[in-house]
Amino acid sequence: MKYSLALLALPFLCAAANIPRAATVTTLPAYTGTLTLTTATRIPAGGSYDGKMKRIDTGHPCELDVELGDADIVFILGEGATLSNVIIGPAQKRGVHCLGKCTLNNVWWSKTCYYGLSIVNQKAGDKTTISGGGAFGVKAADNGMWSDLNVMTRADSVECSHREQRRWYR
Amino acid sequence: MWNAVIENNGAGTVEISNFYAEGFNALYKSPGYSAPGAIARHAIITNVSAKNGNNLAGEFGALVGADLNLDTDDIRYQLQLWRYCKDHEVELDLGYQCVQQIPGYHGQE
Repeated sequence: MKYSLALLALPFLCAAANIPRAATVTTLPAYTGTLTLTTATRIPAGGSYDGKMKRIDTGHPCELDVELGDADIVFILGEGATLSNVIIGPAQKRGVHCLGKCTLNNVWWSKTCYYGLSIVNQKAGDKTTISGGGAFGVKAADNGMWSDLNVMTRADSVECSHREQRRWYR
Repeated sequence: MWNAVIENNGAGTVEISNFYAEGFNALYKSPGYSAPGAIARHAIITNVSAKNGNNLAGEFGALVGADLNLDTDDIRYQLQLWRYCKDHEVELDLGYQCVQQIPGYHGQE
């Protein structure tokens, strides 16, 4: 598989990997105002929404294990929609759903709740682009399945009984 | 709680660039499927900084033996498949980091 090939080539690639790159912004940008939208804001297919750097959430606090309703997601993007320049605030159960391919430009999450963006039903051959922005959240406690392997595991985070069988194939 | 920043639950490609993530279990994840190669997914991650996270990319399936559905043509991303923000204070810049600088990397198992 591809990963085996990558391994063989690693010493050579290490030298080549140090290429110039632009700096990434590592702090949450200041917001220009706050907005509470108590039901999801739907951006129609092919449409766009510019948050103008407002902090926007639904006003409903994060809950992890919940049947999602319209009030729980801040933005729902139709296929081909674009969301730009917004800070998803902390009071929300989910940040952004894309119903197909979508584009996010300079979108920030001040505190993710379970996940920031879910691409729900993108078609094969389509591409979603996330450019700029960032996310702040809380890392779950290390359950030991992650730290001791040189490769990622495919283990489910709650059921670890066969972790040794769940390493990535490559 | 399992905190992923971006999930691809469909097919196709997700490209993430010039992005910052802090406090996460995965920057990108997609769930596994029982049938090998059931859904092909591609991820391209360039110029991402990450801090206090576990993995930049993950794919999860409860069934043992499912094929790896994650694929990428970006060699910098492939390097990061090996080891990420294991040492939580270390800030990691994708697209710049050499695999030799990744803590705990010992080559192929």
